[in-house]
Amino acid sequence: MAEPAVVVRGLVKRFGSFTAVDHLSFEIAPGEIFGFLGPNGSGKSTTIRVLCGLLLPSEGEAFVNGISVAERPETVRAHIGYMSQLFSLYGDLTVQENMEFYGGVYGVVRERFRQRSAALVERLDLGQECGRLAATLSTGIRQRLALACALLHEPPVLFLDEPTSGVDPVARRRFFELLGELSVQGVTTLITTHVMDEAEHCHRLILIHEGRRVALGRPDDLKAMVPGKLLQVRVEPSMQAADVLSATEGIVEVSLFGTALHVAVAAQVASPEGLVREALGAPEFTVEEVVPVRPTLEHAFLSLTGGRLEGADE
Amino acid sequence: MSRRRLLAIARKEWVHIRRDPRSLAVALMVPIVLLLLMGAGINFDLTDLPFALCDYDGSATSRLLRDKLSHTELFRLTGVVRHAGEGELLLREGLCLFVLVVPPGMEADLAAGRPVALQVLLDGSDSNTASIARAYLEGAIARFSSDLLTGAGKRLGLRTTVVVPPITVARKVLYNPALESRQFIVPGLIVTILVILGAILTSGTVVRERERGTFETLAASPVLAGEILLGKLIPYLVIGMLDVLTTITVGAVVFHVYVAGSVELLLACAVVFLVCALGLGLLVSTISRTQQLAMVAAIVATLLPSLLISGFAFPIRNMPLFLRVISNIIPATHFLIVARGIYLKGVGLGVVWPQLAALTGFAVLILGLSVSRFSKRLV
Repeated sequence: MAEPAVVVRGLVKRFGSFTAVDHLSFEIAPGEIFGFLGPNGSGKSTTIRVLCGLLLPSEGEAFVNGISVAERPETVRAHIGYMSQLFSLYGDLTVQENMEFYGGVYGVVRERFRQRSAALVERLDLGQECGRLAATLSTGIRQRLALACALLHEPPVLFLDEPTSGVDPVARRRFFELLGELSVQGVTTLITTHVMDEAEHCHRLILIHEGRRVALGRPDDLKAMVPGKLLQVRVEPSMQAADVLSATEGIVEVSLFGTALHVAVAAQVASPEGLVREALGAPEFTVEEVVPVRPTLEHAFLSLTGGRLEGADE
Repeated sequence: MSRRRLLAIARKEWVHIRRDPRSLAVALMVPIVLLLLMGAGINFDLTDLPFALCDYDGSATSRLLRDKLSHTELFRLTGVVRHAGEGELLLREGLCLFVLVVPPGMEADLAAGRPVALQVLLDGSDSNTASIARAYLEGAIARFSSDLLTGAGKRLGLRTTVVVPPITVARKVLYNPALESRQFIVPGLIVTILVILGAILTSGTVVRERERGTFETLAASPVLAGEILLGKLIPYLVIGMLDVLTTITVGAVVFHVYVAGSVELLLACAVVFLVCALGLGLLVSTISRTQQLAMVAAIVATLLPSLLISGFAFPIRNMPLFLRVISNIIPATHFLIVARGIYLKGVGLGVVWPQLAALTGFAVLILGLSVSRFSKRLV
């Protein structure tokens, strides 16, 4: 592996008595799309802010392209593109003026700016909007503009904090296509999300919970971490059935999945399906279906964070 | 310091101003309105002082005295009373400033060559006005009695002037020959208006970015604190200079207060002074949590000092030591000396350089303090 683009080592960030990030360590390889997965308040944004030099770490260190963020924040800032969770555009400036402003503060020279902004307007399909005030744009276009502003100075490293919240699935897909292209060009991306289908697009994921690292690996690695066997159960009445199953020995977890129940059975149980059918043997239950299913990232997330997926769609 | 980044900030700030025509109109109109209101309202010259007369004599001489007094623009007769007690009632109700009591037998006493004392009841509740009124009145009475003597001498066929005081004062007032307080107040008002407006203009600029969330993205860019602050200052300096020009013009056209010295020098000093005022606004904006708080802080930090202890209304040399010290560390004091010096005395750089140097020092200090207090970190 080449020199990592981002290194976080033993990072701790406390706000008073509250610990937002608790001894977090990870490395991101150049060109990697690295997903930051975790419930709200788990320390994702705090970590990104430390990496941008906006917050000083309480302990530990962070490096971007081998440069210490705490020691040389301005050098690091020249190497990164940042899309904050907050509204980063100026509503009373037009699309074009917003781009000119960010081009200016990143010191992009005039000729280069012309080429870059034209290319980004083309690629992000902003041509129609150039003269519009940013305040009048829809969320999806705003997000594209914010990304364009973050990419003007051709940063080798991108920090995107929930860039797709409030954006429709089609726009989201195109967003990840673009990240894929950037990745091929060698751009490293750290992206926070709590949308599972987005996480699937990442090369690797780190799952954090209460500021601590819970799991790290490729999406498939994370799914493989779901313990035991997963069954999909269709039963009426489902709520009572869920209560009965939860109380059954050998069943690790029961969760509602649409109209069905997803039941995780411990690995040592010889016949998981038999266990479930036996538990629902009482006459008031009508069992329609018990079939094994492949765990998804959502299962991994739920089981690894102890079932706490708050505000998954905010 | 990168020119490209500095210009990007300045240009962006200029667009903010342009897209907000209401605030721009306020920034350009408020100084004119304030100058018109305060210039017309604040006047230290006293004329038309109301007085009541209690004439126990009722003679030709007492009527002559009454006519002499009420025919000047200094005094205005507002009541004639029959006895002094009635006059005191008028004083109490504020209907007159003093009551002049002419004793019975004045004319007879004068004819017999006996000295006469007139009684004056003065409203001392406004001590400043009362002492000015007393001085005016004593002057008028002195003129009246010397006229009486001259007239009597003429009637007797004497050719010599009866009373010639051995020492007189031949006065020549320089810089403001008519001693109009307006000549002194208008330049002071321009200074006061500029410092308040300047601080208010920039007071919202940094804290607004924090409130709207744009600060975070700005802070994550390599732009330096000094570039942000200076970039934000430049467009407002242009607006502030427009205000300087309009107030100088209004002062000349409406109040007939003209710059005796070099307008260029006045403008050059105004630039430095405005940097101080705008810098104060930036400093406040850097450390405040909300825009409202920043604006209140900007007003408090500039309005009271510039009105009360800058020498605008009250002479600094009469202040207690600690106020004199404070007065010397506010920029308005120094620019006031410069503005009045250039306006009234027409002095040049040779005279105002110490003040200009002090203003430059303040400008550097205030901006330096703002930069050091400006943090690109969030907590």
